[in-house]
Amino acid sequence: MKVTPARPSVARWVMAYGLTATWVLFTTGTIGGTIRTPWGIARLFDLSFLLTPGVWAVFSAIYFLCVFAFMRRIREALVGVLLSVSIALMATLRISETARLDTMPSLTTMLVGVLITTWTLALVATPGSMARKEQVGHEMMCGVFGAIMCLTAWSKWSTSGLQWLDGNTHALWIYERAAGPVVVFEIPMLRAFRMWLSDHPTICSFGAGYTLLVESLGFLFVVPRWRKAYAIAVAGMLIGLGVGLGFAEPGWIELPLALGFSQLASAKDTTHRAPTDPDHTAPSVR
Amino acid sequence: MRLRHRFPPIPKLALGAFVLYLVGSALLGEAYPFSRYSMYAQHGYQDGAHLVIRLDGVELQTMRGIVDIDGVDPETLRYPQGTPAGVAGYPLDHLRHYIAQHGRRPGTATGEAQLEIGARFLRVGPSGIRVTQAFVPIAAGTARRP
Repeated sequence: MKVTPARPSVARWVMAYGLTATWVLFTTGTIGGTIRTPWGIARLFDLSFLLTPGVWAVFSAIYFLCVFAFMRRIREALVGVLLSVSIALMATLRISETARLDTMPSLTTMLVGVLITTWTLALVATPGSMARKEQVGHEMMCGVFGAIMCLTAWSKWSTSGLQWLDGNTHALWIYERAAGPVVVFEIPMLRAFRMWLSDHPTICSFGAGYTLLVESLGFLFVVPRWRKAYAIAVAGMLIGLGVGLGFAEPGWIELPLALGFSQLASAKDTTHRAPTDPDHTAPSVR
Repeated sequence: MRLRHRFPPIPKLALGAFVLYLVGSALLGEAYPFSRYSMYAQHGYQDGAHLVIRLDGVELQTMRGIVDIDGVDPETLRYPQGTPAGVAGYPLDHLRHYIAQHGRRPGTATGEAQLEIGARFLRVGPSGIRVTQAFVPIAAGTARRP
C-alpha cells in the first residue's frame, strides 16, 4: 500500500501553537522563580530543580521534540502522554511558584492542558483504528470545551447572578487595567479606547450580557452542527475582551475555531478512511 | 420521533466528555486538570485599585526601559493593606517579574532615579470612577532611566 505523508491539519497547527504558547508563558513567567508553597506532586517531591535554566533547557528540548512528533503524528499516544505530563508539571510548578493554591495555573495552560490530556486519553483508551481514536478524541475535546464554557457561566451565575451585568463594576475593571503602568498590549490607542469605555458603563453591560449568554450556551459546542457558529461567537466574545479589557490568553480564540472548523486528524492521509460510525458526525477535515 | 428530526444529533462521546468534565470540575474544584473557571465571577463591588509607579516623582505610563532596579524585592511585593479583594493580581505579577528580570546586577552602579511603587484606590458610583486615595506606597528603591 502506498502511503502518502500526512499533512498536519489546521487544528493540529493550532494545537502546536497552543503547546508552544503554554511553554512560552511558563518560561517567561515562572522560570528563575522559586517554589513558595508546594502544590500537588511538588508536596511529595522537591521540583525546584526544574525551575533552574539548565534543567529547564533540557526539559524544553524534550518538550519541543514532542511538539514536533505531535505535528508529524509520530507515536501519537506516547507523545500525547509526554505532553500531557509536561503541561501538568508546568501547572504544578506555576501554582507552587505563585502560591495561589485556590486558582488555576493560567487560562492558556488550563485549556491546552485539558484538551491535550483529553485527546491523549481518547488515543490510549479507544480500541480500533487510528481514525476511530482521532474521531473519539475530537468529539471528547469538543465536549470538554463546551463544559469549560458552561463552567465559566455557572461560576458567574452562582457567585453573582444577574448582578454580573452591572456595567459599573466592568467599567472599574477596565479602568484598573488601563490606568496602571503594567498593561497587556501597550498601545496608546487601545489605552485611550479602554479609558473611554470605562466612562460608559451601559456599553460595558451589553458586553457583559453577550459574554454571559455565549458562556451559558457552551452546550452548543457538543452538537456538531452548531460548532462553527458557536466557535465564531466565542471568538467574537474573546476579541471583545482582548480589546476592551486587555484579556489576551493565547489559544482561547484559535482552539475553539480549530475544533469547530477542523480536526486533529491529518488533512491528507491515504492510510485510512474515516469510520462509518453512526456517532461520527463531526465536520470534514480541513 | 418529530423531536428527533427537529434537533440535530448529539454525539454520545462529546456529551459524555461534557458531563464528565462538568461534574468533575464542580465536585473537585481547583485540582488540575479540573477547575471551576471562576475567574471574574465575583461581582458587584464598588472599590478597586491600580498600580502606580513613579520615577523621581513623575508617574510612568509604562515600565519599558526602566533598568537596574534596586532596593525592591519582587518576592515580597504585595498590594498594600486595604486594597479591595477584587483587584486583579496579574498586573502585580507582571511587575514582579519585570523587576526580577531588570534588577541591578552585582558590580553595576546604582541607578540615579528614585523609584516608588504604590497603589491608587478607586471607587465607582453613579457619577463614574473617582480616586479615593491617590498614592498608597508599596515599595521604594532606585532605578536607571530609559
